[in-house]
Amino acid sequence: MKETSFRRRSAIRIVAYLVVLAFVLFEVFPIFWMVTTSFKSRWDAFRLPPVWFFKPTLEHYITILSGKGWATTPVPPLLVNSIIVAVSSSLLALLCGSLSGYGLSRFPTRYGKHLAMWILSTRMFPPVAVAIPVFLMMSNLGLIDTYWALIIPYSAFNISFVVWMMRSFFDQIPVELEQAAMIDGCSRLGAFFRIVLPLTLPGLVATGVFVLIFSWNEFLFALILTRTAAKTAPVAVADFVTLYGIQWGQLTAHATLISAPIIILGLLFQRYIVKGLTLGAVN
Amino acid sequence: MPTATAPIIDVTSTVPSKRSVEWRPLVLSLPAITILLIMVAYPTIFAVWTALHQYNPMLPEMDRFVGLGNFQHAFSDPIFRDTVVRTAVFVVVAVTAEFVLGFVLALAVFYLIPYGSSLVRLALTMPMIMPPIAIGLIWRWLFDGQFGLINYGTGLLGLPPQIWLGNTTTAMGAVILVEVWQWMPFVFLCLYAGLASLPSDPIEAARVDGASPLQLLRFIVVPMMKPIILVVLLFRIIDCMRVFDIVFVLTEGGPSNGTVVYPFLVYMQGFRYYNVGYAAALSWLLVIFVSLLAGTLISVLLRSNVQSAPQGVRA
Repeated sequence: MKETSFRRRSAIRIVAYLVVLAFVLFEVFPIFWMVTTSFKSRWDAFRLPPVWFFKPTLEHYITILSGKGWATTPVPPLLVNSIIVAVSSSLLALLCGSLSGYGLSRFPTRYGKHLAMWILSTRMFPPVAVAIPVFLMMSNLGLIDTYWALIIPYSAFNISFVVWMMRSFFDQIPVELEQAAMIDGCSRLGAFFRIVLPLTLPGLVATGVFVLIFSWNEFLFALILTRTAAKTAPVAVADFVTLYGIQWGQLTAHATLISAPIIILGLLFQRYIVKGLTLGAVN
Repeated sequence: MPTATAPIIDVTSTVPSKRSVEWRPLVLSLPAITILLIMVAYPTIFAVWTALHQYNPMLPEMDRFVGLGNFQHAFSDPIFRDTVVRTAVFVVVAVTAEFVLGFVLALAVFYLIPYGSSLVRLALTMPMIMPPIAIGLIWRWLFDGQFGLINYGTGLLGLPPQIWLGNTTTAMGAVILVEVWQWMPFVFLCLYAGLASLPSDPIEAARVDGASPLQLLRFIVVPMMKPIILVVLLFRIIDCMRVFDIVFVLTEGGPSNGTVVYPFLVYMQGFRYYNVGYAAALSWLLVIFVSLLAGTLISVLLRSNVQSAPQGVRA
């Protein structure tokens, strides 16, 4: 009897492994397929049954990077725009958000709770709902197709995230550490820079990485608020859908280029991802 | 506690001061509040004004006040009703699928797979963080009627090729599949983290008392996981209601408006047909609905935070 139950258990375990393996393949295969298609020649990309072993080519990458592809703007300036917008909006969100997070964590007040809740509620806000008024506002200010048109909304959408993340990181630092430093003669500012900031630095970096990812991926606002000068890389995707059909080689190369940095960053900071995506509710 | 050697230093400032109002959190939050007011609060209020007008930026001289006309129009418009139903179906089916698959996977990986679970988690991190626009594209390539791998696969099984994205039912199915593909891992990772944080004593005790695995799940694991399950579900529901990028690249709302979900309707009305007033009214309806949901989510978050984190140890 003991042996049958042992057999049953190992059978269950084998089934579990197979199920999990199937899920992982389902999740990973499309990404694999995107990357391999981008390295296939025009001829190999359309072959069915699919060719698994092929001579990789960089032709699509060279085409889009040199600006000879279907994208109406060459890709390198688009990537530069994406980097400028993502980095600036992240820094702005980090600065404003961590100040607020520190204040809310260290000086508990009655209104502070409501303030934190109001800030959190902006995370739930559907961006498409403000798309129209933001568009009209940016047109009136003459900011359409400038970096500011994206930097300000992106920081706004990310501030709630930074405030909640940083507040939970500041909460983890015992107040006693700061108090001890202040007793030893540090000012509050000194205690902040010498004690609190170094201890929360990993959290700050992780938060920054996530904000960077969100800003980099954003599509709707980049689509409606930019034309050519400040156009970001994700928006250019539509250029590859041409009158002559979809340019799959260039399109997958472009998609790989914009996904690769994100995937690398995300995997490096994987430890924080659940906490980040649930604003600290789940660890 | 202040000591005799340093009596002047304000070390008790973490306790609300009785003397005057504590201004520091407000002052420190001012930059954040300013940006949020400019980018979220002001546009929302501005949208009220727009929603009460018939406004087309191409024809500014036709701008006129229509009161609640735009809202009336929405409620009598069959396209609006179809979109609301379609969005509801999308949210319910996608979130249910994400949740069931994610939960099963989390249970399987946590309880049955002793080795390689960190590798699984690493692999499943990728879809969630990728640009949705790239994801929509890959799947459009996989679903392609002529050269797509999915038709090739179904062909091997002896099924006739389909124009997946050219038929209303299968196109909506495709949008749901892509949404589930991207966010099922999120449910998995959250619930896995939840399972890992459960205390083992109640489970052990029940097992010793002879509970079957299903009973353990039903009466011990699920009740203990309830706060996390609620948080995950509410996040998914609210995020599903703003799906845009995937629809934009995968189906562009087609065929014959068959995959137009609510945010896409707002976008089409505002930025394709230039019915800006009407689009603002639609935005407002969405805001009201999402606010109600978000209120629920926030109260749940608050309670779960209180439960899991006595002050200072929110780890």
